[in-house]
Amino acid sequence: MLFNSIDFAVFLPIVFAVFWWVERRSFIWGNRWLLASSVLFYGWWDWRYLGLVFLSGGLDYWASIRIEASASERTRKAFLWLSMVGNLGVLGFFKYYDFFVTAFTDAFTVFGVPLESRTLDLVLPVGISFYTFQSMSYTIDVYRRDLKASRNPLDFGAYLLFFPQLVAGPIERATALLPQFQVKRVFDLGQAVDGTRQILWGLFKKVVIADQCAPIVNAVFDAPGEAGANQLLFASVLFAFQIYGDFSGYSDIAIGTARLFGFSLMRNFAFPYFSRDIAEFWRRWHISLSTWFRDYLYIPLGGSRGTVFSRIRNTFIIFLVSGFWHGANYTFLVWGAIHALLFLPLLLSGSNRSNVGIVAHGSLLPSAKEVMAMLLTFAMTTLAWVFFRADDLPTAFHILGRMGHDFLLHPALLLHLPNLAFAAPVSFLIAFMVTVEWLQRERTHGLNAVGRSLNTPMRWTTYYALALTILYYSGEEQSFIYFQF
Amino acid sequence: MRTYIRHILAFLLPIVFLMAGTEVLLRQIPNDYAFKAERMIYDGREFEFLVLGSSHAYRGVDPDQMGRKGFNAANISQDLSYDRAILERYIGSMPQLKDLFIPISYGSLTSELEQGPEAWRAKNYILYMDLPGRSFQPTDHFELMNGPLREHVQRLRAYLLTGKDNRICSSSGSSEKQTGPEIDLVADGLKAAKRHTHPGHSTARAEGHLRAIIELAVERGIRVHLFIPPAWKTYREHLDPEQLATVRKVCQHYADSVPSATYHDLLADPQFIGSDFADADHLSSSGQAKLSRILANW
Repeated sequence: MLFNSIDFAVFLPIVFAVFWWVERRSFIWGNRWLLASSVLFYGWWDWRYLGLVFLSGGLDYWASIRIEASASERTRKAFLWLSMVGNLGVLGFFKYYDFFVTAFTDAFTVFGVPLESRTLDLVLPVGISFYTFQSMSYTIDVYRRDLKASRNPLDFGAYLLFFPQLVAGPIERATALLPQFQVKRVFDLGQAVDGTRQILWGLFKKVVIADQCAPIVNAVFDAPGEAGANQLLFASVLFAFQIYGDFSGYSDIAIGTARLFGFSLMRNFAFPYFSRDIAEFWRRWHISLSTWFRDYLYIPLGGSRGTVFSRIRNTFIIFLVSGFWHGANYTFLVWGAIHALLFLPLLLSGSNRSNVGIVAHGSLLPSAKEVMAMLLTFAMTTLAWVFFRADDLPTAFHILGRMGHDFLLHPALLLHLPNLAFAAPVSFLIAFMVTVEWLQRERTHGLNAVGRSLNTPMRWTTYYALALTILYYSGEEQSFIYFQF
Repeated sequence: MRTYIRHILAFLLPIVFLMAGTEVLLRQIPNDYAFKAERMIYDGREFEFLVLGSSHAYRGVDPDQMGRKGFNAANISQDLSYDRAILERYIGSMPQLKDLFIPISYGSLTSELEQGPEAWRAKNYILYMDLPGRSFQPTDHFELMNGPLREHVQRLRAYLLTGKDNRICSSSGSSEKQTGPEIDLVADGLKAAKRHTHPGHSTARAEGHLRAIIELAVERGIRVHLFIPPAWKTYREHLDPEQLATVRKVCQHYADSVPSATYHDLLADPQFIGSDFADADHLSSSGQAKLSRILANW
């Protein structure tokens, strides 16, 4: 079920009303209702793949109990490995099997031994990368003794399948979310109202920004050979906003929806395009995944401690794994490698934490230096996004080569704007979003301050303007980009 | 909680009213479906023949050029289930009906309107032609739930400000004049053939509807003329032989077993030349005139 669908518009009020009705009786009934609703939410897409979620969750539920019950470190480790292998095995089979088979046969072909490629063309179960990571983090936390193993399969199921974040995150830690399923939730009007605002802003970013960028981006990226350098550049910039609107919009809707039910999910985006360097970008983009890799991969590898070689190695590992997590394609690996290369100079020079606070904190406008730093960071991430969006490496290199060649030979081309008739509306909408988020950058989401700084008529006018804009641009249900990961 | 629900309802109520008002206004815009339903009800008693089918008939047959009073009830992507529903719903208001022309295109037995990209048209039959729709599909009951709202708003604005409506068919139900091919027929032929090819798709459902149409016609003493409409060679050469053979076999079966049914294969009829096609599988105005004259002689 998509957040931007009529189905969800019917589903959410029913689930909300029944939840608070049964929650009055007992939080156990609230959990049962949430679990049933989450099963329906996921099964709406394809009920057959529910088995995988139960398999992954069931394995971790059982393994964690065994880990906790065991006194022997060897046994504990064995069950942890069992959980890892099981989860990564399912993920690897569905997501990476075809990639490795093709890579394997290609390698043999290069060496003159042609093999027949036997790919399976499996449908990737929605959200598999998200829920397996969430489930694994639970087992690891139990293994580390950061968390007690859950002995209640309903609580655990409700936690793992919690519908707002099941298919595209935020990838919640059991230490933060599971305890919220073990206490009675209390309806908080302020949280619910601000959660609703967050949903509204998330829908705006998804329906109005991402979905309006999508047709232009798709047209250019599907036939890059027919596009000029400035069209390629324009489409690349639009893709940067498309993926931001799409994914951060989803996260806002997920977090806002959870707040309606009295749950608090972790922040997933913190206005990443206002970052002044790549290190700051990664502290602000897809935070739940970055911190997952930091806590469960980077730090266990040694993190930023140790020799220069080990720091370089760890940085590359984490970025390459992060790239590969997004998809079984060389383009994602290159995307990860580019970010590693951009991040390394900051790490090695010790300046990776020089921009920790909020840019231009307390001021309306940034300094010239901050503007330049933000533009440079945005430019670097946008060029890296070309690899993320392109179907394959030759296409990505063609796009970058064409832009590089044309703009170096004819710098004046940079001033040639694409046809304004189609570029103007979407550019205006993006400018609006960027302005709002700039003004709200010290808050948690784009509409957070509306409730505090505007009087009632202005506030309601803002809500209506946004709601009508969303409705105006709605009607073509576009799936979320991150569903494919 | 009550305060929250009260605020949400207060916020949503004006939006619901606005949407409802827009929905009501959208339904006032004249369109092909409403026009055809009206014509069949009020002028049906004069019709001696009826043309059913998809865009191949909608764009390919002009009743005004057939020398008798008749009507083209075909619509874009209309499948045999809707042909049947139209006939069952309106046959009572067409007592003079003598001939029924049904194009059985290459894709007719394997295409379903509701499963394809034109599924949004399903609501037109419910809203404007008073036909039963799918068992439970809320989107089939509202204009606003089909397509982007901005397109509906643009449509409404054009109608309210300039009077531009959505009726594009002629008074006899066929499409207005169409020029010769202005597109790449090679690429279009491949694309269209691919779109209409459904390997392994069961024909049972469509055959059931066709059988019901023929039985109803026989019961009322109406002749049925099945025909495979003409298509350009760039379309024909990409067709799946098995699927095409099934279409021919089904048509031939009815021609052989039902005395009042005929079958004509015009797919590669040499009378139709390049300029008779608007694209690889649709006729231009000259092609429409030719086909209409051919049908008139059956």
